[in-house]
Amino acid sequence: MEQVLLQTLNGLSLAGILILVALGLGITFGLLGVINLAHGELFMLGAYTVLVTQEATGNVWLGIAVAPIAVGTVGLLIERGVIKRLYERPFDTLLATWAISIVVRQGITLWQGGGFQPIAHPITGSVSILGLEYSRYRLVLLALGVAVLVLAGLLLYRTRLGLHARAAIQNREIAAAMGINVSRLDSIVFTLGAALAGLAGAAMGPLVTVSPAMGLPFLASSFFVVILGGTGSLIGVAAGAAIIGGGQALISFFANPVIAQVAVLLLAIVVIRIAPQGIFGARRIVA
Amino acid sequence: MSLPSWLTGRRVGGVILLLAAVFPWTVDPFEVSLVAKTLTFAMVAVSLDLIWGVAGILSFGHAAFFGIGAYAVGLITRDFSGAGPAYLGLLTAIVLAALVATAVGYFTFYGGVSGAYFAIITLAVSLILSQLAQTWVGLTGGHNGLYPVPFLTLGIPGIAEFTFDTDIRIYYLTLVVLIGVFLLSRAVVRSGFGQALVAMENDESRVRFLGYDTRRLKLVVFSLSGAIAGLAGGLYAPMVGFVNPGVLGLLLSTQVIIWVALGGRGTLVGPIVGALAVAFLEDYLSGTFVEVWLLILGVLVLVVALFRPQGLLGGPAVRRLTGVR
Amino acid sequence: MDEGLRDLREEFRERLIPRREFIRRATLLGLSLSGAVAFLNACRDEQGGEPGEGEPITMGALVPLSGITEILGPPMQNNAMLAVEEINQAGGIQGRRIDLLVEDTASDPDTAVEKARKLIRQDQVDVIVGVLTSAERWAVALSATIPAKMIYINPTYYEGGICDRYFFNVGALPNQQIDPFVPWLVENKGVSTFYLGGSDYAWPRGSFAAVTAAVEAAGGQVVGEEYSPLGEADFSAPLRRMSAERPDVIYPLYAGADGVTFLNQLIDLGLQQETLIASSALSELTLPALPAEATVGWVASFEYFMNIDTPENQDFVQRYRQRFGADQTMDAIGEGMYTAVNLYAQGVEQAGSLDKEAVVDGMLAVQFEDPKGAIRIDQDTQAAYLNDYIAEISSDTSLAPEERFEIAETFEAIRPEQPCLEEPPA
Repeated sequence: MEQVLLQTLNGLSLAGILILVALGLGITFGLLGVINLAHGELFMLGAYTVLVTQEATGNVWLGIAVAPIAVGTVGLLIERGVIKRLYERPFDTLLATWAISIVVRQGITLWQGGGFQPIAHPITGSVSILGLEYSRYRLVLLALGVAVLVLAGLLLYRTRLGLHARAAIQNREIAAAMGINVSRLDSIVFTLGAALAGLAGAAMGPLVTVSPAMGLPFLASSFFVVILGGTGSLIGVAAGAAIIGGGQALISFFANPVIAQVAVLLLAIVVIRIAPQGIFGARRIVA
Repeated sequence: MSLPSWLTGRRVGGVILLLAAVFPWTVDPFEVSLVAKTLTFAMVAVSLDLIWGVAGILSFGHAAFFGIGAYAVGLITRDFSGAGPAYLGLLTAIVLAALVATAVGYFTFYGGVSGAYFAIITLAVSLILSQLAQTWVGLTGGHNGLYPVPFLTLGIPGIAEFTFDTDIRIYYLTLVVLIGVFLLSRAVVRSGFGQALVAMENDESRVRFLGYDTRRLKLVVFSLSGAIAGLAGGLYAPMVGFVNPGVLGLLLSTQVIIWVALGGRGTLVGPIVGALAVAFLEDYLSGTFVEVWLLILGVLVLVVALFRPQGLLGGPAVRRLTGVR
Repeated sequence: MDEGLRDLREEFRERLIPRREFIRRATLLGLSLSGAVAFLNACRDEQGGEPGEGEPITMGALVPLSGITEILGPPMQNNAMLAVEEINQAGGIQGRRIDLLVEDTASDPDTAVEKARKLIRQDQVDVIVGVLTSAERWAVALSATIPAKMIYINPTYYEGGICDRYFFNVGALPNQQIDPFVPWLVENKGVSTFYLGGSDYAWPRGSFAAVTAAVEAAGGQVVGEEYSPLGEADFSAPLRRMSAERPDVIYPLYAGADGVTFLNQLIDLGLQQETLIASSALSELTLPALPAEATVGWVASFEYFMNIDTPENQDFVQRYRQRFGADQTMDAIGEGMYTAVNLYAQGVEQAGSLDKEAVVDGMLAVQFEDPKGAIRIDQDTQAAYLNDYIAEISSDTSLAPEERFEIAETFEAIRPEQPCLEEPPA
């Protein structure tokens, strides 16, 4: 019983992180059909925003608050400067975002150096849940993930913006004909996705090694989460994160972590095969 | 841009072949070895072009097939010397890579998986293989790698064996195989099968309507593509003398995509030029500007994506010269 | 990387570039102007070849400037540069200047071997120094330097096992870094149960074999041992297993960035409050990336610390910082590059020529002072006799990270010991 609880907690903690990281990707992919290979770098920029803010003000929380704004702005610039020109050319979008990821990563390396950077741990230590020690900060991350998910849900289903966005997913042309400014909608959605990546990077900063390449390991797993859950679906992101996070935690208890990763990847493949549009897929994206 | 009539594909090809044949005698052997290595990468680029450029299906894990080939030859020739095992190794490289491609392709194409989902599945396959190579230390040597992989010995087994143990020999072997791969791929594209693939990229439902089983078309071209990438990996392993999980990794998979996109999708010759150009840039810039060379590459790719989506050699003139399509 | 260092690197490149640039240009031309290039190459051949009297010695340095261990590269490069500059300013070795060629291994065995071959074949260097991870080291030694009979001096503490007439080692072997450390922990910290966790490759695996033997010899017990793939981003499962065992000591050996990720997640869980963190990989470069209060009392063991309190070392650190910037830090591997360059220089001095066999014999015979103590080479292992320093992290968090390594114990001039292996331990 204790083991079950422990693994559930492990899985939840990983899932919480994955929700945070994958949500931004899921939004840009699901709503815009853009496979953003620079998502990992936007994540990294979030962590660096915290570093810079922390150096200037000594306050980590302020950094975590500023990160989505700063990275969202970067996202807006990327959308306006590059992505906008490529909406009809998915392969070129892929290529362009890959190029942006390199440019951003190398730019940060040149500016900040390749070295490890310290981010203060805003909360440390563990709490006891039914007799098991559990990291406080990871609980905060889990709560943050769920909160962001709920907020995104409210945005999508309870606001005019969300209504327009859903209309545009169904049919861009008709949405545009109905007087929805689709181009502005694209910018807003991409900016939101970037801001979420920045928030995720900022929040994860204290738990990982902050370095220019830190986004890479998260990019692949975010893709699996999004594809698995189904694009354009918030519940899908949560479900994908739960499957990947939970599966990995569960299997890694019985086998070594590599076998766990392999098993989860196989699981992901099988799920995509059975449900090619993801578990909660809204539509198929041809890219 | 129209070309003068005396400038035919045959003549241009002849000049390029001549230059390629003379090239190793004009630079120092180390440069020859680097170019030979790049030619194996160029083969992977051609194989990706078949599936992506021609048939319009993006594989995000093509390094998987290259890596399978490298490990197959590495494992077989490491313990058994001579031409027989070398042929067996190369054959295993090709067949194993083709089999894995067929399995992945059958699983996905017949399941209706396409587009980004297919790309992600191929990515997952390459990550799985790379993790297995890291973990299965008894077989692959894990992160430390598998070595020593001896030079290839080919010829007639037991009678007239010939070892490719100098840079120039390896270069010519690789060049000949690359030319073979190019000609084969071109023949495929020109055939009715290839034309169906090209048509499928434009409008899949129309091709299906004409009576083609598009799932099978995709499966066959993906298997062929995997086989070529496996062969490239099989040539690569003896060249560098060892194999480590990096050959299966994400980095190589993305690099191949860049070479194809830079050179020109669907041109078959563009990917070769793309691979050579990036390798040359890397060699030229990475020693001088360690930090900025990747930055330059990134900007270059961005410029191509935005302003020349057909790639450097994607124009009609090149198509006429190469006879592709 | 800070401004100063980059400027220096730029300046440094300018000095060493002409010949390489020349070769590269030659290659460019080769694609189109084969005849002209043949001529140019003839010129190059005149330049290269065996250096005669007074001609410069060329030294190749393999350092990770990108990839998973990139943070450890700049101090390695700096130390090699400092040693070379000091030698050149003092008039070189027997009137010969040393030219240093630095290559980036990208923390990857494939690239490391390619760069090693380039140094050997294209640049025709006289000696190679460097390489950080064991996977790269084994690949470079077995696939590049040993087949080419190239002198290769390794600066990095590692699991041991490479034996060759042309392979020298100035980094600590397990018997010089781990064997003194573990009994010291058992004796002075009253610990008996150890949990070992590391990245999955030769160095952690080989080193943990030594740790296990030392723990058992000291009457302790290893209660867990596990490995994670390189590049792991989430260590919650290993950490939870460690936490469940409640060991006295957690002994991590994770490579590069993984080390910081692991320790950050360990600190987040608060495991350090009840468990001693001891490692032969916790260095001056790792500590700055961790919250200062959490690391109090952690223990590390190395052949070199910036904090070693000898006049030679204080002077060395001062020279280093004068050259590269007052805030610059280094670890034992970085300083090992300084030793490696000097070992070769002393070997040439002793040999009186650049003859490879004579230089090898020379290096086996010399003895010289180094910031970490006296250096001489053991005839059997061709590795250096080294001191081992055990440092505890000070509770004074106002100190700079490198100054928090308080040397608690010194073991002097330990003779290197290692079995010879055909391939890396797995």
